[in-house]
Amino acid sequence: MGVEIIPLLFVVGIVIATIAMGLWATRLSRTTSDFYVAGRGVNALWNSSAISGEYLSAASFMGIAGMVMKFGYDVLWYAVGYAAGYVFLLLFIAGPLRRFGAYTIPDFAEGRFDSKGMRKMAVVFALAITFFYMMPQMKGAGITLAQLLGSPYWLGVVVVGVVITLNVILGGMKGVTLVQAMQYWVKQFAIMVPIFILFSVTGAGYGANVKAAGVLNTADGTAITTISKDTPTKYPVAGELKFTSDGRIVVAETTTAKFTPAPTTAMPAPATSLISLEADKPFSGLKGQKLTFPDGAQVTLKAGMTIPNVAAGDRWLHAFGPFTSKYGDDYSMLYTYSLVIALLCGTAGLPHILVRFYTNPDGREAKKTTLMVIGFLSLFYVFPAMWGSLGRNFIPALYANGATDLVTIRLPETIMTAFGQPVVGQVLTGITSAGAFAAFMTTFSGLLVSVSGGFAHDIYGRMLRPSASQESRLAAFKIAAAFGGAVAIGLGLLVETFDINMLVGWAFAIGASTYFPLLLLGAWFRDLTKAGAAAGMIGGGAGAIGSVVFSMLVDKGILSAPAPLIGALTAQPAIWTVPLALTLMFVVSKLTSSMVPADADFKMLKLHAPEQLGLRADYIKD
Amino acid sequence: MGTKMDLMGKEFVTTLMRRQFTLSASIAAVFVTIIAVVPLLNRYLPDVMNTEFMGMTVSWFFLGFAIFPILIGLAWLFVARSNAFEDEAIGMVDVATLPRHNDTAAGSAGLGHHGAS
Repeated sequence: MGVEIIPLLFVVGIVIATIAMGLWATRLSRTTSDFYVAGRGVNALWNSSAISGEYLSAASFMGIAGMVMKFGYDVLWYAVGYAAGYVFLLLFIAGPLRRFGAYTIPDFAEGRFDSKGMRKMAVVFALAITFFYMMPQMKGAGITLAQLLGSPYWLGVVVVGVVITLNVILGGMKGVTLVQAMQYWVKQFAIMVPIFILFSVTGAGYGANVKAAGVLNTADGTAITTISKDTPTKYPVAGELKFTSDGRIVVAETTTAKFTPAPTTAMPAPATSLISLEADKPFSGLKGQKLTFPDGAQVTLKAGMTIPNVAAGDRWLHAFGPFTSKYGDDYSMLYTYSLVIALLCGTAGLPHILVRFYTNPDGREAKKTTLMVIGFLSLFYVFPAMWGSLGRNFIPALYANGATDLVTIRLPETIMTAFGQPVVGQVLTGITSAGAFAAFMTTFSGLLVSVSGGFAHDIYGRMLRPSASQESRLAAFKIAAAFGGAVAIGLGLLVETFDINMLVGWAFAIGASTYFPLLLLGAWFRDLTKAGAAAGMIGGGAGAIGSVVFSMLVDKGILSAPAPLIGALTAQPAIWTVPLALTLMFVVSKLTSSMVPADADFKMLKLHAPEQLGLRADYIKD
Repeated sequence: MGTKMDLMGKEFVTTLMRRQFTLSASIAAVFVTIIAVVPLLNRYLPDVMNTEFMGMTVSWFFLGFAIFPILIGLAWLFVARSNAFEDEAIGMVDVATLPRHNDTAAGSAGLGHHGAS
């Protein structure tokens, strides 16, 4: 396929626009306060655009559409949960957090309990969550650029990493605020406008596509479907086709592939052999077999062929399908609730989002901002599922090579080419590619500001050298940004084989089990003590991180699979780790009631009293 | 409201928090109920939820579209009620107990300043 010029121009355009806006904003960015929280004077429209821009990551722009295509109905919960998490944030956290007048969550942790130890613990969890969240952004950048350029995976990771790191170093958060606000609108445009064009060209709307996708099925209801058009697909890297259901493929050119037969229970592990695949002769694969193609091999699904790896239509259309019933139908309900809890509570536990609430001038403005964010995100999250259902009908080749994550990139080209408008298709793919790049770049820059702020403000400015001058704090911020960017690029290079949504899920589960309980009880439970808060964060955090690492090792085959119930509870731990953290905080606080800060009433007053009463004292003055 | 309360008094902060929390908790209860009931309906009333509606199913339509205006509506309701309550709370305080100093970074807080624009 080679280099795709038009989409590439769009991507280069968005990258240059990002750099230019960052440089331009540098002139507005002078003081330490500007660098951290944009001087507090960011109005609600700017700030809510920027929060939405920062929040809509690779997982939202590419991941949900891809997973809806792959798994169907159950994945709609991701779209709902990502938006609905802000309702919890609004009801319990946004206003009080802003009123307390701290820059970062570690500031809150220290100020609420008068404890340096709590600051340290909060910093550690913030960095852990943030680095987890950076990895999928890097991965998204790597695979998207690989699609457009035919470039190796690492190039996309390095390009995005370097551009954003420079942008943060030069512009700080004010630069980032401008860029993010703009990029929310880029993403909204890119997810919305092309899909309407595709609906009108194909002549069927959302409902018709969902319905059609829901009946792609053979008579006996097994996971097989047939297609009506030839759809070629390229394996982005030396590709592996694992037949999770029966299916047929042909290759465009004669090639040899490594063939691994399906394992059987009676025999030892099957030996891999080399087989030769002739051009245009169909190969029938059985469930469990695996083909490994050389780099660049092209596979075609001819009209009428059964496609490998597709979930049956009714399983796709209805609740408790292949995604939530991974650990058996008995636990699909448990899995659903646990996923929803992680998404609802996890949003209110993401440090890079929470830091944004300090950029509001006051608590009232913070609430207004959150309301607007809920509106913006609702408008966005209606669309990914449309891409997923259209993708299921029109580009089933993505199932065959396990590349459903690329549906927002590939779909416009594929459909418009089939309808005789390849150039329009390239332009539309250019728009969605630019949207995807906007997604990696904004989320990554927000995360990098959060990490750099953590190092420079919490570790350097508060722990190592409290007497540091403003200049040296600023220098520390820039050094930390360079360091954080380098670490993120390094981590990004390691995660090529990991699933984007798995990585994002980790960050949400950890945030929901640590920061969310801290903020919820910190704001509303007067008698919360530092011992209670610490016990809850450690208990919830250990439970979540332990579960995540455990299920990852199982996934990679390093540990053997546990009983289905344990599997479900470790793959989606929030249903027990969030209550565990909350309970520990409550019980331990009751047991250590002598540690309740003497001025707890005043702290509660500061958290909840309107600013007009004149209680506010911001942590950093300049 | 006859007598005004002391800003630093226990009574004021307790009243303030109780009323704010009651508001937040009631909206959260509605919100959580709406979310929590969907999987139950999907499991126990699949025939209803899988009925065709707007070209898709009732269930798909609810999570794909209908829930978003509900979220926005609940959020809007909270902000309106919470702000109205804050205005009321300011009136509940005995003016003599308000701090006289102005100690914020931006120098923008203090009595009479309305942050909302």
